[in-house]
Amino acid sequence: MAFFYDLTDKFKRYGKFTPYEIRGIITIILVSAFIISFNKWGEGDNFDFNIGMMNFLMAVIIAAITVMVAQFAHRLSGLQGGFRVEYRTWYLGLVIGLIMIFLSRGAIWLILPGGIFIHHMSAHRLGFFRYGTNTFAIGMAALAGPLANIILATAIKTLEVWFSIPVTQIYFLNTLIFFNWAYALYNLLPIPPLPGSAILFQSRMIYAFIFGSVAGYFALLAAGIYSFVFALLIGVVIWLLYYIIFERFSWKG
Amino acid sequence: MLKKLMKNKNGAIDLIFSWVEIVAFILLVLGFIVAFISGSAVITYTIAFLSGLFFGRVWYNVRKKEKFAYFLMIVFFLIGFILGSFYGEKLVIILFYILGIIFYYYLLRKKVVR
Repeated sequence: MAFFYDLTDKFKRYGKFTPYEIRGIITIILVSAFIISFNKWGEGDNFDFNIGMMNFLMAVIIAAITVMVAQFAHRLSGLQGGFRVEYRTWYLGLVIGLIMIFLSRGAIWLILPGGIFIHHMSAHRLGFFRYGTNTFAIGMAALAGPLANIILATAIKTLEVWFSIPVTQIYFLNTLIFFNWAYALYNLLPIPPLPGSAILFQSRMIYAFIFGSVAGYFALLAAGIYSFVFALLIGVVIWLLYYIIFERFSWKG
Repeated sequence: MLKKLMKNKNGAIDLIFSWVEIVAFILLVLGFIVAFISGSAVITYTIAFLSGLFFGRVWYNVRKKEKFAYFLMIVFFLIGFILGSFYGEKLVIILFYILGIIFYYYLLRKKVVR
């Protein structure tokens, strides 16, 4: 219980978003919504503003849920370790996503939103092993966002398995699942400033396993198969292949 | 001649000496491909503007440095883009491209984006 009160207090004190962060997050939500709803402005080749606006607003809600879940996860994970998390939007990444959506006519979603920076809070780090800022702390705070998106997507999908709600046939929920996975996958790319780069710098082996599992699950999802076990198996195979092909040669004592 | 210029004594491509030409050439090809894929005038103009935003960032980053190398890259991308665009007016494409550069440079200068 003390842990919960401590985290709540830290969140109240240091969890607020700065105006710059709010501006950036709103931009991410709007650009993501535009990307999701790009080829849904009408039926077939006919342009319909009303249908388009409806789809766009739905996409805004989907993007807002996804982005905010990741944001809160980053923050809570960082605060739990005694660090204040700052989110910096990568505007050029969003521009690349827009170029890609125009070139592919809405076929390829490329979402490169931004990355996190952690600030050391000296009083809250007292007693922690490795007092200063370290790659492990950054890696954990970075991993929390994609992980939260995956958990959300899985929780929605579980509604179908446990309560027989046809999630995949409801457009909103199906898109929410797919977008959460896509957002998690893109965030795990090892391109600075995306959170994936922080995980890669922390440990290449862990990164190979996590990215392999998430990419594996995403590939299975595209094929209509929902299986965490297979995704983890793909992750283990990629982790092993990475070790055999690269990692074992890079360590020479 | 070009081969001689690009390679050092060992016959390898001299990246330190000729990186500007190499990057400019890659951007020329990239600009051509991007413009070639865009299937209508509206998309061509939009992509010209978005590409301009990208180079606005580059121009801002090098504002206190020697700019000619980056100027060359920006121009080469535009040349590639114009060569590859079959839709829309060339002049409008140039206009949107420059507008994109100025717009993003302005946003960075006013600290709207970082």
